[in-house]
Amino acid sequence: MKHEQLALQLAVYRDLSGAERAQVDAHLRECAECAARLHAYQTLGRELARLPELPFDPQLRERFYSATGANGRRATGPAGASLGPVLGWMQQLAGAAVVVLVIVATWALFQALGYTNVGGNLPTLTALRTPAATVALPGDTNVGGNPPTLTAPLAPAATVPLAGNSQFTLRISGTKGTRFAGTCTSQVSQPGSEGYAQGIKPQGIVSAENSPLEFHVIGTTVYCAITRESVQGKLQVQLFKDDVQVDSSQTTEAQDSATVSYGQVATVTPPPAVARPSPTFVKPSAQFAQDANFNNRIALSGYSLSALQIKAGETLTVTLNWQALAKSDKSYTVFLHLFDRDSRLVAQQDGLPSNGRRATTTWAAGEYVVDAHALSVPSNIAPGEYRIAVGWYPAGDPSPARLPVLDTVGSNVGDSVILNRTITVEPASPLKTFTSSIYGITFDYPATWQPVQGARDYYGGSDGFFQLTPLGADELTPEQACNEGSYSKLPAAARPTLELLTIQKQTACLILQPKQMSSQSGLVISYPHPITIDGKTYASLALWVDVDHAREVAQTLRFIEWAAPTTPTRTP
Amino acid sequence: MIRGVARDESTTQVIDLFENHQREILTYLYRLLRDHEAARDLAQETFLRVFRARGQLGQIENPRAWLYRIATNLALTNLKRRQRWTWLPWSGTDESRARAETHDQAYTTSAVEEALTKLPAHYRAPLLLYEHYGLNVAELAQVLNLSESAVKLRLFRAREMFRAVYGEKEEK
Repeated sequence: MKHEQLALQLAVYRDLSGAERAQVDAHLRECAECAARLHAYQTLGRELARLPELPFDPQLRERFYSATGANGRRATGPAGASLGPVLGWMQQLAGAAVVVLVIVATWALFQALGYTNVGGNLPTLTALRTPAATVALPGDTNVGGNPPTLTAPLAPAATVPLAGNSQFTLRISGTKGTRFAGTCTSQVSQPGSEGYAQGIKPQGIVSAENSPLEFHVIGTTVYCAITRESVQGKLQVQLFKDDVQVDSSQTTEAQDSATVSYGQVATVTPPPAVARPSPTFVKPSAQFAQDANFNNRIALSGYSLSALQIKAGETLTVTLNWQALAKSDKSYTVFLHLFDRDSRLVAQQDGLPSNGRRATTTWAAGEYVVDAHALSVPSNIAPGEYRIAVGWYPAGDPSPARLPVLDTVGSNVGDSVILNRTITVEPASPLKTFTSSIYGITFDYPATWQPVQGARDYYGGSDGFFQLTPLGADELTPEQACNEGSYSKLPAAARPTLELLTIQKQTACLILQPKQMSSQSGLVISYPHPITIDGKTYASLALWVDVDHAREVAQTLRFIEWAAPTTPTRTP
Repeated sequence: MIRGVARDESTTQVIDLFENHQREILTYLYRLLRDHEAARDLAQETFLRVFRARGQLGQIENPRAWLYRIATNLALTNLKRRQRWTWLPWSGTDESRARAETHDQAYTTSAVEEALTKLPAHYRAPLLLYEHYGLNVAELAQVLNLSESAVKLRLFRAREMFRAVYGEKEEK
C-alpha cells in the first residue's frame, strides 16, 4: 500500500473494516513514519474528544419553545401547539412572489425612541397619528406583477411612557369595528438588559382564531402577514400598550374597500436601541471657526467640511458644531443651502440634528452637539466656487419662520449664516451605464472604472469602486440594514449614516460609513420579485460603493424590465 | 387556536431531539462560529427547521446526522456572509463579539480550542464531528453532502492542518 493511500486510511482508522485494518496494520509495522502519523492523529483525537460542552442555554430553550409554541418535556400545562400558520407564511415569504406590502410604519414612530431613552430612562413609545388621506391601497398597484404596496405613513404624535419590560402591540382591524387582526406583541426591555440591543425576540403568534393576519417577530423586524387569499375592508393600524389602545387618534386607516392579498407582509422596524451619549459641555474642535447666534437659542461654534474641492455629483459632508444656549421645548430643523456665485440656490439639505437622533428638545442648556449633514452636489451644476448657508426653522412647520440670527448687540441680521469657507466644484466625471441581466439592474458609474480582475461583479478605479452581492431572503433586508440598533454598539464616530429610501417603489437602505472609517457605503434594495441565479433565489441586492459615488449610483439605479423568472447562467 | 392542540407524535420527536441534542448542537455551532449569540441563533434555527419538516421525520434514518447537516450548512453560510460584510459595521457583531468574550471568560479556552480556530470552518467541521461527536465516515458524508472518499480526503487534510497548528504531542 502506498503512503498516499495509507494516509487517507489513517485519517479514518477507527472506521476501517477488519480486512482494511489488517492491511494497514501490516504496513504500520514496517513504516515508522506512518506509525508516528497514526499515533499523532490518535493523540490529537483524544484531545478533541475531551473538549467540554457548553452549559445548557436557557435562552435557547425559551426561544425554541416560544417560537414553536410547543411545550417542553419539563414544562407544565397542556402540551402542544402548531406552527403551521407561521410556517406557511415563512415558506411563502421565502418562496417568491409573495413579498411585500410595506406599511411604511417605518417606525418613524419609534425614531424618537432613541433619544427618549436618555440617561437610562424607560423607553418612550411615540404614538401614531394618521396624516389626512395618506393611507391608500391603490387598486392598480399590482399591475405588471409587482406586489401591491400599502403605504401607511405614520407621523409622530403624543408620547406615551412605557413601563419597564412592557409590551407594544400593533393591531390591524377590519371595517365596522370587526377585529380580524392578530396582534404584534413584542417585548420592550429596558436599555442595557439582555435582549434589548438585540431587537425584539420572537414571542410567537398572538392572533384570533381564523384571523387572516399574523404577526411575527424575526430578528429585528416585526412582520405582519396576511394569511388568507384576500381581506376586503378598511385596514386600520392601531397602537396598543399593554392591551389598551394608546389613543384612538393613532389609528391609521386604509381607504375603503382596500383589498389586502395573501402573502402581503407589513413590516415595522422596531425601536432602535440608541444609548444616549453623555452631554458634553466642552467646546469640540472644528476645522473652521465661526460663531453665530440663532435667537439666543442655538449657537454655531464652528464647522468642518469633508472636502474643499468636490466633483459635481458627489456628496459633501458638512459637520456643524452647535451649542444650546437655552433648553428648548421646540424641535427645530437644520437647513443647508448651496449657492452659486450669483446667489442661486443649487442644492439643499434639511434635517433634524444628527439624522433625527438629537432633536433640539433633547439638548441640555450649554451642551455642545456635533451634527453632520450630507449635502449632495448635483451632477449638472457648473464648475466654480459655491457658498453654504445654514439656519434653523421649526420642525414640521409648513411655513417656517426661521430662527433669526442676532449680532453681538442682539440685532437681527438675517435668517441664515453663510459659512466663511467656500467650496470648489469641479466638473463631474463622465459616466458609463452598467447593465446586468443577471441582476436585473442598471446604473451609472464613472467611465474610468474597469472590471477588477479575479473578482466577480467588481469594478473600480483610482477614485472609487462598486461591487454587487445578491442577498437571500434570510440574509439582509433594507429594513434590517437601516435599523440603527444594529450599529448602536459602535463608537459614535464609527456609526454609519442610514437613509431609508424608495427606489422604483422598492425599499432601499443607503448605509454611508464615516469617511474617516472606511469611505465605503452599501445600498441594500429589495427586488420587485426574487431573482434566481445559478439555481439560488435572492430577494435583495447589495450594491457596495465608495461613499463619494454612493448617491450618484443610487440615484441612477433602475430595475430593468422584468422577464418571467428564469435561471440565467453566468457567462464566463 | 394556537394553544390547546394535542401534541402529535412528530412534535414529540422534535422535542426529544431538541432536549437530547440542544447542548451539543449549540457547542458545535459555537466552535464553528466563535460567536455565542450567533451560535444560539443558528441552534434555534436548526431546531426550527427540523420542527417545520417534522412531517418527514419518519423517513429520516439518522435524525442526529440530519441535525448536524442543517447546523453545518447554516454555520458555513453564516461564515460566508460574514466575510462578505466584514467591512461593514453590520449587525451587532461587536456586541456578539463582546458577548462571546464574556462567555469565553467562563469557558476555559484550551490550546486545542485555539488550534481549532485556526482551521477553516469546512475543515474544522468534519474534524469535530468525527473526533468529538463520534460520527462515522458514512454519517459525515451525509452531513457534508460529500462522497465517502471525499470525506476521507477532507478529514486527512483537516488532521494535517490541525497537527501543523497544534504541534505533535506525545501520548502521555
